[in-house]
Amino acid sequence: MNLAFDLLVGLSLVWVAWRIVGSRDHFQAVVLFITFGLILSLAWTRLQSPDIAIAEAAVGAGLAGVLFMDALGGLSSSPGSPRPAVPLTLLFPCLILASIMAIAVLFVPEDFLGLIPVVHGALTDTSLEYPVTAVLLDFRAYDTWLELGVLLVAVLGVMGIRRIGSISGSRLPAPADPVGRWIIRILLPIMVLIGGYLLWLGAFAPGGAFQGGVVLAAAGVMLWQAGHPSLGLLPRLWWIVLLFCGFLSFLILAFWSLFHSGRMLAHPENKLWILGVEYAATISIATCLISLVLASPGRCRVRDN
Amino acid sequence: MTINELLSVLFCLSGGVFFLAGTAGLIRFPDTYSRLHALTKADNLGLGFIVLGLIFVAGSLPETIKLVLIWPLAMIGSSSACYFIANHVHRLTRNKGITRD
Repeated sequence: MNLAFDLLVGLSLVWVAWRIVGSRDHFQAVVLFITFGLILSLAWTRLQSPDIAIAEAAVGAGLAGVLFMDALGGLSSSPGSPRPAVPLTLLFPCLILASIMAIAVLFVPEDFLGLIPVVHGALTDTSLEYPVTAVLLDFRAYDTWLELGVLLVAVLGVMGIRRIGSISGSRLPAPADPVGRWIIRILLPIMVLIGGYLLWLGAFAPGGAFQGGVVLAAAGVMLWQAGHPSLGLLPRLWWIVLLFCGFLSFLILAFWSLFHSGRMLAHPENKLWILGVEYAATISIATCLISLVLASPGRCRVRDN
Repeated sequence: MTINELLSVLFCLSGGVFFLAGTAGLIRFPDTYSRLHALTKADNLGLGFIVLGLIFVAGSLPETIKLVLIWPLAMIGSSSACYFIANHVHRLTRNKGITRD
């Protein structure tokens, strides 16, 4: 029964991906992409990785979907455009890659536990209780640090392309009607609460900086969709501080530990450090994602000089 | 199988029936309004039944509270999304004088 369900999920992933590639209509492709993200998060749930499932549903399906929809607004609609040709030359390398991965899966021993024993064994060395958060913030802090850097570069790239220095001047969507305002009044406090809850939960259960940050970002995007400037209200200096605080906190931690213990990013025993870094990362992630949507060229093209 | 598990299976199955009905409506109904009707009515009821079913096998009180919270949140989301889509379609048809499916 479980196998049948897993097969269904896997096959629908491939089918939806194929539909996205072959889709004639941009709007349809975007909707299918969101569907793809939701099925993918279902697949991660089946693989018992709730952390990735939450992140995939929130980022892959949610915020990426908003960005794509927004970009659609800036594209000239061309319903009769010809079917995009899928280059057949790509098919061959893809098939080779897929078969190599399939063979690799076949050679995994059945009682293989991966890195689980290693991570659980090393948990005593860190002040974190939840293995996934320990990997993200302690064992592989370098990766998380650079991920924050990637988000920053993405925001800077969008700002650079649009030649704007802040998000406060971006064009707002039309103010929401009463129904929209009613929903925001209900949902906004709940979203802020859940964002904080997910962040706090990261210490001992699935959750953490990325998941919490994305929920907070969704709250900001929702406000913006209703015609409220949200982050654009902040003075430019504050906005820059929020944008960079996650990256900077990792940088400070790296330097601090370099001079104190001789190793970069070696976490001190004090839990306050980890909390500080994680909170700063959450704020930065939320700010970066909101800024990406607010500065996205699609909706604002009308205002360009 | 305990009585709780039996009730859980029963409620989840009835939830599944409503989801099936909603999906059939989404595929078979002729225009946007009736499709929205099928989706938001049947699926909300289906989700309610599934939440009800899962409460019977929930391990603790916090888990139960979180499960119960999911239902009104999903209803707020789906009813408002339904309104926005219907409103958009209504404006499109009013402006252009065409029916859009």
